[in-house]
Amino acid sequence: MKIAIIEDQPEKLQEILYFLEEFYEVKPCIKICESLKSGLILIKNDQDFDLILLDMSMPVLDAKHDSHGLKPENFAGRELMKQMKIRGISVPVVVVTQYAVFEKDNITLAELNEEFEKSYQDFYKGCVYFQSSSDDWMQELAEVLRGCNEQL
Amino acid sequence: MPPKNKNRTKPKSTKKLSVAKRIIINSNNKRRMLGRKPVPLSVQERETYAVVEIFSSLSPQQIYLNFDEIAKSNLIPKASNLTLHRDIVDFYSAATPSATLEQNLSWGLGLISHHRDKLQFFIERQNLITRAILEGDNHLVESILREVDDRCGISLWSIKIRAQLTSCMQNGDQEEKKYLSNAVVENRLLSSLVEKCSFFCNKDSFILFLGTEIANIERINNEYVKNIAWYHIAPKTFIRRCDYFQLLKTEKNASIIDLFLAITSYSELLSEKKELEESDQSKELLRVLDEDFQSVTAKNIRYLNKLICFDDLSLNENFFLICSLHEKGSHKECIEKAIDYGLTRLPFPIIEMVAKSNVRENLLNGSGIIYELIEKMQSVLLKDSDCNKSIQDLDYISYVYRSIDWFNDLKTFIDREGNFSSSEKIFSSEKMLTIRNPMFSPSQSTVFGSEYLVELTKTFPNIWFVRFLYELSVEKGSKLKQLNVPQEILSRYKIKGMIDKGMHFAATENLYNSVSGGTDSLITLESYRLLVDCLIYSEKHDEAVKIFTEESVKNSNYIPIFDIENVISAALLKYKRSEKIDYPISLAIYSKVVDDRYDSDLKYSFELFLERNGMSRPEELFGKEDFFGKEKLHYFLRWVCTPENMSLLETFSDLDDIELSRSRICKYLIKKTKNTSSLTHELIEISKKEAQRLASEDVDKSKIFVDTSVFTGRDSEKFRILFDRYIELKSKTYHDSEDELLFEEICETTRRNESLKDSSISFPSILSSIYIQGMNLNKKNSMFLGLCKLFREEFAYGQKGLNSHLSTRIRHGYLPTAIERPFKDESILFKDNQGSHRIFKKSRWCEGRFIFSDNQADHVYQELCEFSKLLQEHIELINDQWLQIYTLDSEVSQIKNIDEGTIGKINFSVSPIECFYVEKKLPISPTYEDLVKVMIDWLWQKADDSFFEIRNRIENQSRTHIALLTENLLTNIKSKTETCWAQHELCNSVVRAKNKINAQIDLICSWLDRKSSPESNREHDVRVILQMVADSLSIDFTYTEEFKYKIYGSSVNYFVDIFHILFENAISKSRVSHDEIDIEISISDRKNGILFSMKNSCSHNNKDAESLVFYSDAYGDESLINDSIQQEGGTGFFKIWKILEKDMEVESNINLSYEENRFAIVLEIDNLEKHLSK
Repeated sequence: MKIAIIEDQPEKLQEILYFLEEFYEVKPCIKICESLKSGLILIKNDQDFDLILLDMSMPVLDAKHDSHGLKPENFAGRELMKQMKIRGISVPVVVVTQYAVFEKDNITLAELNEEFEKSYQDFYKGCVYFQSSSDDWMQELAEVLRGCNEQL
Repeated sequence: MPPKNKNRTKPKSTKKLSVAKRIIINSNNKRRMLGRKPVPLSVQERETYAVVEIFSSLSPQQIYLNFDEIAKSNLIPKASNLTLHRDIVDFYSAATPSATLEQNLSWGLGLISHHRDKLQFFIERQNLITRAILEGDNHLVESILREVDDRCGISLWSIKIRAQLTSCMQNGDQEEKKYLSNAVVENRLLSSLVEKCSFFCNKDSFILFLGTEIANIERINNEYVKNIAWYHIAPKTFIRRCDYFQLLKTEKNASIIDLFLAITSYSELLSEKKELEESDQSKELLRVLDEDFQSVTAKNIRYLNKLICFDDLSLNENFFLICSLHEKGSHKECIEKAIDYGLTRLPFPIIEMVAKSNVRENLLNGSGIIYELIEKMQSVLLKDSDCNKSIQDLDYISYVYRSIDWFNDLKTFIDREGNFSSSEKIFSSEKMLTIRNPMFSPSQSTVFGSEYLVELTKTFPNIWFVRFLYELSVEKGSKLKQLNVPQEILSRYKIKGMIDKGMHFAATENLYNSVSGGTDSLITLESYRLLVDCLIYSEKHDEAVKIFTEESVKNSNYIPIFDIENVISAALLKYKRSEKIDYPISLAIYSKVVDDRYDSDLKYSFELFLERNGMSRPEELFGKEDFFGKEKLHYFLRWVCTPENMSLLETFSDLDDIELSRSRICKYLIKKTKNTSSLTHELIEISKKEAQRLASEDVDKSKIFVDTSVFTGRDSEKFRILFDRYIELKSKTYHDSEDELLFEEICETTRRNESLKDSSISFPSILSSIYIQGMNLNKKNSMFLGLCKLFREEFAYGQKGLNSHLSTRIRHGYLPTAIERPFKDESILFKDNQGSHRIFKKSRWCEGRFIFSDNQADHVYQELCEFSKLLQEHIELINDQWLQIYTLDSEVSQIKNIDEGTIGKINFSVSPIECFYVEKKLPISPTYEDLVKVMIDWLWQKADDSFFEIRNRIENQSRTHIALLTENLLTNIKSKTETCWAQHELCNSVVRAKNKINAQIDLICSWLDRKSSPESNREHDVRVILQMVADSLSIDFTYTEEFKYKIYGSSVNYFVDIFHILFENAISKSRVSHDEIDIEISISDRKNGILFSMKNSCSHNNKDAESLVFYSDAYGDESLINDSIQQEGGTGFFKIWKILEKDMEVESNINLSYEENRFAIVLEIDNLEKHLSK
């Protein structure tokens, strides 16, 4: 199993890594990116991934490449999927996000999920609401991943 | 009796009572119990009983057929007469029960038929008012309005026109104002509608806030109020948002005029309704409007649906003659004929023809509103340099008179001409104008069918255009030669004919001829649009996109002539397989003028373009004008090669690399193009960041971000227009106005207030809490306040604004995780639910070496859940109360004491005095870019002030509170469990988490501290800053300094601006070529400060020397400076004085002289300790 995790928050990343270790019997091969650009380059150059776990809000560039302080992109995850679609890249994606409502656009996670299902049906597999204070997200993610595995 | 008509089905007379009679008798006989005694109903009760009876027991048809009889019996005086009978305070209050659309339509139809005479009077007067408005005779408008109100009762229709009258009459007509306010007293809904209407009659308010108002209407939850707002407040473009079911519910309780207009408006929809054939009600509605009220719309819809025949149409030969002259190209005669008939008597579509004819002949030179409107329409048609301003002016005028049909047609025109209309949209707009107006053209046969043209030819056989179209369309051109048709016109119609027949490719050849050899600018513009459409239709995408980009980059005003959605669809189909520069440019144009929908494609097309042309960086395009075309290449470099679009390119290693590339592009374009002011600004901004990076190795830890590019990007148009308006107002004299003098004094007094000197809050924030009650702002200050609020809205609440960022990055992301982390790591956080309980049961407190007994574990679990809940509540407090933006208008903040709970929030309220102070921060003769800079600095300052407060709260309150929570948890664990290893373990965990949380709180505070990077205390070499500015202008200089002078980080921007002005001055005024200019700079010590000296090569004359004397004398003399700004060209030295004196608060003197072929500036600057060190 080869997994790309595109996530900029170390704590959340750590929890996802713990989860994956538990979830898979055989330790998966994991590549990590912390920005939209590095994520895109990773999957552009290597489309051999079985799964992408994608954060929704992250910086455009990696911290080490942005000495101004990070310029964040609230919908970086959406942009990455758009780029994948435009470029004909079709690796299964699961969005793992920390918020239920995206305020300015007033879009709920459920609505966003619906939008992604319509727009990226070739590779979008679902989204999981991550909360550090609870472990419910692990069950949700496990369910989505089981669904992915069945399809694989 | 209802109006007679042959088609109408009369109720059959039977021996039974008529429905109307039954209701009248029942209502009159109805008794209610008073104690044990039945008594007759009061008049009011009887009316209520009757209307309920009507709506509950009658079918829609019965309501309509019996209305007249019931109304005449005086049983329902309020419901049937509305404002003719009841007080204005009852406007909109329910006179009839809620009902279906059909019932309300029938009721309305019955009501307007009942008041036919009055409404006919209204229609006649409405026509007179239209003419009076177009003639600019406001007094006549006013007296007609009074007549209409007296005869038909007051209506929102008259109130809206009156609001505009009041607004445009010099100083406001007091009597009208009084009339308006008396009319709406004590009716909340009506008064708020009137207030809104009056507010938007002010042009500045219209420009500034109507967009926001429309967004607000969208968010209204109450459908009833929402519909009223769409119908009465939003521009007519939004009429389609109206739900007529809701609308009639309100308008039937308004006035007879408003109900009549709502029904007329509803009738327009029937032109598109297929069910018209089956709906007797709709047919009857159209019949009544046509026959009883001479509604042109209703007549045309009936004709369109074959409900009446050609002979029923009333045709005006003059309209056909004017149209014929226009189409024939006899523009002079067209205009003369229109003037003879009377411009203000003509329907809008004929006026449009007159405007088009006048584009060719320029004959109209009268004064009055109609002439002004025609002139602006010409500008819009030609897409000239005033086009955008004209659109805005026309939009405003069409909005304020939106109750009048002529101005709604004007709005249709603006929407069509200003907004990338597709062929379908153009046709639909023409159809709408056709249906709403008297017949004016034979080409209406496209709407009404060729039968119309045949009949028309019989009626007007001698009108040239009628004959021409007949020969062309019906006789297929056999006798065209006899008509002497000008070649250009014949060709135009042939092209249209080919397009109608689907021969798009064949049409392209003629269109190429038309665009290359055409002498008529309007026909050429139309031909370009058709050519691009036909090419796309013929699948010649490369060529279509090429023509679109070529014309658009040549003149951006031309962009709206194209059907941009169609062009972009073509570009999206092709760009992935093409190396052409046109594709990324077309996507960039779309992004710039429409929206960001295809920005991802733009980035990819940019990447592909470089790849396919064998390039890795945009700089490799320099010098390739011959290959790609100069205008296209420069557009590409400017608008495609932006940092945003470059951000995903693999070739750039990091952001510095991207900005290096962008700065090279800016420099290249500054050399190669004109109008470089925004490029220079961009370059300076990049350079400033670069300078700061050179001085600091630290990465800013702040996680607060606002994307301010919105102020210069696609959506900046509204800000720019308002800025131009502000500059217009600024040129007028307001120095002596009451608010100007008072604000100046308050700013000065506040500045001198010793107790505020050490305040941690910035000066603008201090001013934001000062409010002068009852102070009227002069127009300039009022406009600047509006501008500040608009910038504030975008900064705080915009798509990529502070609130959006706080929400997605901090409130829902980093902050909860950071606070919870230490406790989660120690297995202390649990929720009171089954899932969480299961996890607890598997945690180290229940499984492992040191565990609690079952009984004790339950207590522990309860305690941990309680602790987790309280911690969560505190996170919510920070998120939902402290880290929230609030804005109060000054009026409100004055009245309401800000309570303790709101202090920690992010305060973006602004006051007029604060904005006055911000305005003073603008340089002399500011550009739009200067405004953006000042606004952003000010808004960040406000944000920083609030974040300072919030950090204090988190550092103190949160730290203490969380410590207390953990202390309590420890106490509770100890008191509720027995001493055991597990208890020790748990207590140790709590203590470890408590210690760790301190570091986490420091971390959170650092995220909220934009100033925590020691940037403001860092020092920059003067030489480095000079070099950076010189680089941005691509010039060299030599520099000598006595000491190594250092500029403090907080003052870098001032020096950058001063150096930039000095270098710019040397370049633009020296009359020496850019490459040959020789500049020497030196800095030396003087008693209390420094001597800054700059010399540059130049060629000068006597006049220049005289100017120097003036500049030297005026430097530092504010009144001379203010006078000279209006007359003199060079304001650079005054800008320097302003930066030094007002922004840096240091004293300075200037000495200007010529020494042979050199120009010398010596600046003596004192008291620079705050800004410079050595």
